[in-house]
Amino acid sequence: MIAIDGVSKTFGDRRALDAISFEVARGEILAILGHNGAGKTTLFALMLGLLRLSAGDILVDGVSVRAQPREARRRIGSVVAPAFYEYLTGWDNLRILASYSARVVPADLAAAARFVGLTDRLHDRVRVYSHGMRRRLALAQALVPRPDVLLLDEWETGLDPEGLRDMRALILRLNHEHGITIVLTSHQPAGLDGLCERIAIMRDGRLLFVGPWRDLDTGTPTVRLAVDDWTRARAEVHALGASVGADGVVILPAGAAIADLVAALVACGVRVEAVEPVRANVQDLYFRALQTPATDHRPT
Amino acid sequence: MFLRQLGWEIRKLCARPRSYLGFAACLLFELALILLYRTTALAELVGDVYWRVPSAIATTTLSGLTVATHVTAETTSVIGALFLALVAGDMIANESEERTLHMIFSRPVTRGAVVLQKVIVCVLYTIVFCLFVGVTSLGIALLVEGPGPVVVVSAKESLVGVHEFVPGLQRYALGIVMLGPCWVTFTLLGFFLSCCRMKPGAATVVATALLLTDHVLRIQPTFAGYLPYSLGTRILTWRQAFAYEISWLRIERNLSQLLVLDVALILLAWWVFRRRELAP
Repeated sequence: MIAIDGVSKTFGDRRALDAISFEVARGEILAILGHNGAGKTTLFALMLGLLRLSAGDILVDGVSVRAQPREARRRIGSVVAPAFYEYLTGWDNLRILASYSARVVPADLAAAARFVGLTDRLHDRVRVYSHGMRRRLALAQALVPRPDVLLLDEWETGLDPEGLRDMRALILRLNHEHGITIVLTSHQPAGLDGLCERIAIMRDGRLLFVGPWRDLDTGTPTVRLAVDDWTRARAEVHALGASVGADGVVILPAGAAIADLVAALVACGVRVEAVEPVRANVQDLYFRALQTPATDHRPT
Repeated sequence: MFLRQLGWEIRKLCARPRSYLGFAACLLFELALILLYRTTALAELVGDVYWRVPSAIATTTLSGLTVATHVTAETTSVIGALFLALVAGDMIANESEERTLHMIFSRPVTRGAVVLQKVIVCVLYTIVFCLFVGVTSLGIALLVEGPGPVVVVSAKESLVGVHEFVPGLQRYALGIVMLGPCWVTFTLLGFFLSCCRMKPGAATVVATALLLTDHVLRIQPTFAGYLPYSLGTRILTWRQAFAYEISWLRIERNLSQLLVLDVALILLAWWVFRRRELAP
């Protein structure tokens, strides 16, 4: 559905994106992770034609963004740094933005507003909207042109826990019920569990990894320990070539056995009170990936 | 879809309070000026500076129609210019700053179409604004000073015209019809600056500064050679409607030059804006 082929973007001397290449299959949800300034939003801006490609091309459903930018944008709905006319109502904002897409009837606008749960406040001025309502309005305007692809930039920003839950549910509904391909960016990997299977990790404009996030799990055993003397325990853990993280999480070297660790701790007089195997989640794997050099992961 | 988008551009302009501030400010300015023209001091100034006649003549011949022509010229040159520059300067620059422009261009619309829509809005606003100033000046001046002949004298414009009330009213009507198209060029200057990478306030300030510079150069005897090239000279073409013998050739020449400038500014604005990147 989306093919990003050798995309680079430079601003003067600064290389914001460096030869990014990956694909997004039709109907999947892909999350792009990276620190602030990694180039995630820049990539979206290139897809939308807000910035010019320095090198490479982006194909959206086979349509080149470089050659046919308008045609490519017809297939895309986006929530990228959304902004509205504060002095107009949410309904008027939807109508204004819809007028730049294909012919849209009021029923479509109402349906989009209903889908995101904004019907009650639609005729209030946007200046009185809460952050969550603005996010809903942003999503509604992205859905109005019935896109094949939805770009969500920093989808979780500013949302409270209920808002996060609701937004996750909306994203999953859009993908499962309507088959929309969704690409979202985030710098909070903790919220992605259960939302997507494939992730892309960017750092300083380069692609570190793309693929199923479980592929990042190199099989290093990880446990959460509770001991009575961490000073002695830490020395023993390091002697085994393992590392200690926050909350008593111990990452063993590949091939090491948890039982050997426990035995070594008991042998040096440390009382082991609890041992809990830890299954790596997106956040853990993301931080591990960031610690490896950029060339260690090839896009799949 | 173009017309629907254009309709929304007009709607956006009408929804902003600053679009109406200019009208209100002009009304107040006109009222103040018209009342000031009742004072002997200002009437004598008109006689000395504009008409180059004994001030007694000026103080007895400042009819409503004559005052209206002065007030229209002064209101558009001062308050009108400021608000035209404000609205035009906001057109692209303000939406770029508030990021609503990014929302628009994330959709399948060309930059040329949006620029053209905003140009049309600028032109319409200018014409409506100038008509408003012309009509309200006349209404208030007639109320305060009453009917009478119109006297328009300007050495710099080679303009002399005295007409009885009814023919004077017709000349006035012709003048304010031309007033809007004359000021469109200045509005488009503000719009062009708005398309450049600058803040909305900067676009307004630069546009008004250029007009002020043009005015200063135009009135300085040292720069008499600049007069034929002055934008202000062409903007004042509408006053040629009051000449004894209307020089249609001169009006046509000046308005054509303004039209060429208008087209050049629009093309420049489009060329500058299509190259601009909109970083989110």
